[in-house]
Amino acid sequence: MITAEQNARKQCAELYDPDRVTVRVRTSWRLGFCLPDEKGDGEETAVFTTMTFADSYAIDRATSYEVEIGKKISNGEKVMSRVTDFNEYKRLLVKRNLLSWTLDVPIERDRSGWMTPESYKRVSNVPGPLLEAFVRKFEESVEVSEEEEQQISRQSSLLFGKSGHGVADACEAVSKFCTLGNFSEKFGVNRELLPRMPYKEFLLLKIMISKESDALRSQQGPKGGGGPSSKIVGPGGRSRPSRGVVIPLP
Amino acid sequence: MAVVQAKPEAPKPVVPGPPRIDESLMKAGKYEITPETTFTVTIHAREKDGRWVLANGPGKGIETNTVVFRLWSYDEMIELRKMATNFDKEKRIHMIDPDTLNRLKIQRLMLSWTFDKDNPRLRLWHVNGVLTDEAWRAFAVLQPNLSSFIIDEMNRVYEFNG
Repeated sequence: MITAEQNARKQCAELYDPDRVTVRVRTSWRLGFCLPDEKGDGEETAVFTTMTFADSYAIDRATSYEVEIGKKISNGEKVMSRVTDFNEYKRLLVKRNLLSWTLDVPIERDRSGWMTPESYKRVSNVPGPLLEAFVRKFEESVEVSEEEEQQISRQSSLLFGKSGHGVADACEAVSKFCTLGNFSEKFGVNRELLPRMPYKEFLLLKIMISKESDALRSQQGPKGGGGPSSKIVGPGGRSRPSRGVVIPLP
Repeated sequence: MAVVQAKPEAPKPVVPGPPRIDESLMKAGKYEITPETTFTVTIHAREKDGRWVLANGPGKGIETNTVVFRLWSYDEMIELRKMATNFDKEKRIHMIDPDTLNRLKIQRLMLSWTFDKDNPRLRLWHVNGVLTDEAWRAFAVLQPNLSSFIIDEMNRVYEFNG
């Protein structure tokens, strides 16, 4: 059972050090070796460096290859597709992102940030299921789940809809998009500076952003005569009137 | 005038550096896989009408055999799964062939068994840590219910954490 304090510590660690991801795996010693066990009385921890776009891109490029997926009916030409070798991806992910852990196997990295071959030799010699459990939990922290994606779609359609008035109980994506977008655009406060901002200042500015947004919306409302600022361009490049708005044709 | 080409530089011999002191001195940690990191699958079976029927435990007329496996390390796990993975062109996804993976696990991780106690034809031989083809055939000639049981118990540790 995670206490409120443990949860707060975790959240703080993520906010203040967004470059690290800590994963915990419940374990037990059975048959003489340590294996993942959800009901186990032990716990092992591993710290990974956050999977950045550059890391993901580099590993993906290194582990992808071309396969023939068919032939074109017209000329019999091969149709190729690029796919990722997910097994090799997992191996490189450990070499690139695993920083430290509670296991008694030292982890050494070279100056470029990659695990040294000697270190990987020992690290990869721990029980497969144990290291895989760490990797799986780390991957969960990177992946966007189907449920999350559906929630984003629902909230986005409300947020960006014509009659949208904001979203209640915003999900992480919407909240980050709006907060970071507004603070960066208006005050130049980026993702790294925002967690260090005095909270009252943050609250005051957020209230002001919300008030400004309300004011703009009321000015652009149907009775305000503002109307949509952009035209929807149809096939052939001609503007077509959007629903309920008449645009005189040239 | 004859041009004398410069003698190409002889390739420098690669001198292996001294072994790392930490590697030489440090014993394997308690989490590392060693040749002793093994687990045993126990099979209880009794003969009935010329075939072997699995039993829940030891008892009268029940023969007990054991098979010893080595736990796989992360690198071995990745390597074997990689060897058993194929790209399905129709579904456009990678699929692990479980039969191939099971065969690879047995060939590389099965160390010994007691089925050869009274039958030298079932003796297991390894070359470079891999079962020989003859030894693999010895496994393959086991009655399917016995081999399925061994595979299931083996996978309980490899795939389902014991």
